[in-house]
Amino acid sequence: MADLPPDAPITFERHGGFAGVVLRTTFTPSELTEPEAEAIAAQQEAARPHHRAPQPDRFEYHLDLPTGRIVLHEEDLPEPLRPLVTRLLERARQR
Amino acid sequence: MMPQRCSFVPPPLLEEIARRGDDAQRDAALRTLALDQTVRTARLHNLGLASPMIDALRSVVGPKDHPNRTIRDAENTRDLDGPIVRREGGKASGDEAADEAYDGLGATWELFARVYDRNSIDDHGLPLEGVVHFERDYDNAFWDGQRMVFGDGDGTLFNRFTIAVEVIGHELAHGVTGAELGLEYLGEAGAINESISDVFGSLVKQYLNNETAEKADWLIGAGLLRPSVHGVALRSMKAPGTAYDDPVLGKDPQPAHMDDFVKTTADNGGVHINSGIPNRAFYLAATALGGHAWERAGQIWYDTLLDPKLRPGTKFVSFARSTVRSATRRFGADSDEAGAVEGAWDQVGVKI
Repeated sequence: MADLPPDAPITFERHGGFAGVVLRTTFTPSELTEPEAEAIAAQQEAARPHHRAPQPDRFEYHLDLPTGRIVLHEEDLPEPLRPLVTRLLERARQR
Repeated sequence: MMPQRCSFVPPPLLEEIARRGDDAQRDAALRTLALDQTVRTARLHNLGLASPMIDALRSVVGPKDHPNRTIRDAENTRDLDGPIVRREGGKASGDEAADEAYDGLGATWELFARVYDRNSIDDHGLPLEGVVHFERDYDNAFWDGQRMVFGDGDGTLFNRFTIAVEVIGHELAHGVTGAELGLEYLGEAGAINESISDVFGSLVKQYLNNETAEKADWLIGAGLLRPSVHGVALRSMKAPGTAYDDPVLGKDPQPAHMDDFVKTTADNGGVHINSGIPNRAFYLAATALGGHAWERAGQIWYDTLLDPKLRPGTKFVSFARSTVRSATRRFGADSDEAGAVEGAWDQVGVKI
């Protein structure tokens, strides 16, 4: 994340699940804790994200950064990113 | 891709133990296989085991006159092995979600057993396990290859996921599809997988309420959306794309016709989106035939689930052809049933 300005817009989307509805919000690198920023950076650097056969009705998370898209499946979500996903979902549900 | 399954002992090793082990080892291996993924059990049969072993396997699987349900409470964590709050035949727990899960699994078992003569997910009495109160504010339900897991909803957009019996039927049907077809959860095959679950989920509700095709609401997830959300359900099999239109959720993205097929990489290639097309095909076939949808249209779709010619990566056209073959085999080539199914696919733009 070091290569991104602190105010660079990042779009977060949740797809799939039984409902199949999309929840969406945005955030910036300045909102991330250090472990969260490191976890996202690690995902960016991964040549190809580990992807197992998906289980039916699980969620899929998209992070759209200026440098590209990261796709994370619920079953493989890195532990340090769980608090971030929780915060972003709370924001995405706001009317 | 096959549905993911987790096990400490690899299935081939269990099968070897079942074939070559002593009596105690064989018994233990058979019990593990019987309690585990149903595909393994089917594979065991395919290996041509001697009949005493088949009998031994049958002796450890469930009875055919009632389901064998267990409901656990994840206590708002991700622990799937939380305390058991209700067992088969036990009294109501008093926990709304647990009792709804218990009843919904029972209603789904009843449909498959009484109408299609299928004994549970694997047709060998596989015990049914449900887990409620998974995580916190979890607005989802899923089948993990071994059990059905339900969240409480977030309280803002979604109610608890056990509130609608078709959700429970949908998840159990994923188990049946996994056991019989092993459909990929991707693209058109994934959309068929999703549609099969919606079809049998809706049929569970219709069977429970003794509704005809004309009277049924054909909604998936009715009651799941909180009152503040602009919508009636998550999906409409009758009119895909009309279930909700809300400032936060957006508009129901399901197409009703192949002309509007959505090409996307999200949601495993739009499995919850393009399922609208086969969903509407089933609705059209069922309403063309009239009466109870589970009797003829449902039987045809169930027969299709057992079609050995269908491949894990099957497309809409192959699946549609299989439904017509199923209708022809059971009711005749010139039957109303075969005509209704063929006409239904034509109306949604799937050319057989």
